[in-house]
Amino acid sequence: MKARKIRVLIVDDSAIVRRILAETIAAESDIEVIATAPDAYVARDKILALHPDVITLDLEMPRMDGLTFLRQLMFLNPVPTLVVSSQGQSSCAATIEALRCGAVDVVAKPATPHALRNLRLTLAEKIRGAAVSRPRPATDTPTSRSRRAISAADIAGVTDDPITVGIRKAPASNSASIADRRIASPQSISKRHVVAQRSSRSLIAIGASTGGTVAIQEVLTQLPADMPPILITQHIPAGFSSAFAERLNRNCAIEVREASSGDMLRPGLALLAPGDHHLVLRDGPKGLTVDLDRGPEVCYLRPSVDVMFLSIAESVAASSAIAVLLTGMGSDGARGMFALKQAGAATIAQDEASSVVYGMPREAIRLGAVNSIAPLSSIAPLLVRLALASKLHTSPESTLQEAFL
Amino acid sequence: MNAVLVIDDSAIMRKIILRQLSQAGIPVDSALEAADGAEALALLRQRTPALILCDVNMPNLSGLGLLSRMREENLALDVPVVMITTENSEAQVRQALALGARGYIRKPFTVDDLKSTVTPLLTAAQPA
Repeated sequence: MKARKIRVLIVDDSAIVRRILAETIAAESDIEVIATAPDAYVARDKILALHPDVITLDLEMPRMDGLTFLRQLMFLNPVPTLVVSSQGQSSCAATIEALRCGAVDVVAKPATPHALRNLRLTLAEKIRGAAVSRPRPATDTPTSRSRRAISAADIAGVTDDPITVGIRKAPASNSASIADRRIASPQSISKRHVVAQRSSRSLIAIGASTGGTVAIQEVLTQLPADMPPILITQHIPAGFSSAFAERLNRNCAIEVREASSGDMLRPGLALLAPGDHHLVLRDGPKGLTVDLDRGPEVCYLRPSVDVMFLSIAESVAASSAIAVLLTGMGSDGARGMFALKQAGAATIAQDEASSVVYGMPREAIRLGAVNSIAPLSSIAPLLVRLALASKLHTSPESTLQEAFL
Repeated sequence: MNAVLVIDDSAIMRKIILRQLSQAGIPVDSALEAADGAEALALLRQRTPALILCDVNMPNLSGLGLLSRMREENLALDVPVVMITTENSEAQVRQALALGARGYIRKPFTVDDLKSTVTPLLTAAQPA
């Protein structure tokens, strides 16, 4: 039996953009454009009449802007929405806000030949991703207020129980012995002690795609400032990454910025791959630094999570690294995570229930690259615990087990 | 003396495995690398390492294919070969052992896994 086509509504005030999107989609056998709308009011009527599976949404429209429309849509009648945005500074900020408000993904407006080519290569896959996603209403975190970072007191009481997989060593049977090694009480952890312990983890690397901007924000806003260095690759078109980094930086205790070639890694600093550049780790004479690489796209992706993970797997930092693969369509990151696990890194995949699209984490799990599967809400506490744990006496696997207790 | 030959089609994986050998405290005086069975075969006609770690699934000549050719050509038959696989296939293990492999390890493996697999083979291979 032939699967039903994905039915798409195009919302854009530009007739040219509507036509380009429609023509791009027409080349796909499993996707069809059921209607187009030049503004939010027409869009609302067509959504009610036609129930599209996916909406592509322009943010800059007359009568009602796309962001206002999106907020109402996600509140009243959530439909998976792909933002089609220009790359001006204000639209980038609006796009990142749209992703927070529940939009699933973003494609750059076909304003340049390069953007047009990218659109043709990625639009269909992003629509497929949106179609299988679970749109979620905006997180109630106010954008202006920083979410409180986790303190030692918080993690001492963590009782989340993520499923632990891929552990080939038998789980410790003596729960009392593990209990002994647990953090005894929040008061026992002095700040200095924490910092000293944390130096045992070289870095944290996070990869994500569809639904990733919200997931990354959820994780990063909970991290305290003295975390190990963090590297992030989120699939995002060129131009949008700096707005994303700025938003994260405003809302996080750690410093977050778009990476530049030669940046040194340091605790409390998260570096985000700029759109259209691979973020790679270099271990040179001066220590760990990053490089931006405009090498070939990997499966049409740049930045690629695999490229970032593999560069870490190859480095001296691998055995003390922590890798996290979050929500996203496709399989980017799985192969790199496998190499990282082989090299001794602790590896974590977001679970299905909390993923917007359970593609990349599932592939990593299928390959056997994952130490632990965790819901999004548990990932930040888990990272804090792993960063606290001394790797000298424990393997990543036993540390992961302890971290869940 | 203690040359180790690591055969894997991923250069990064070869690098990781060589690093793991040193982390496991296994003495490696010189590291030889091959990207597939054919490259390894050419290398083995020139040199005899003290240990071979060999991926199973590779282009050109697979790990099992290499073992067969080594027997045919009477190459390095005293050298312990540890097969590296990503599958949990019992048939594959049996076949590899029948073809002369001395050990078997599944990716991704830890430094401890590597140590416990390789060390006894090296000790056994030491001349009395």
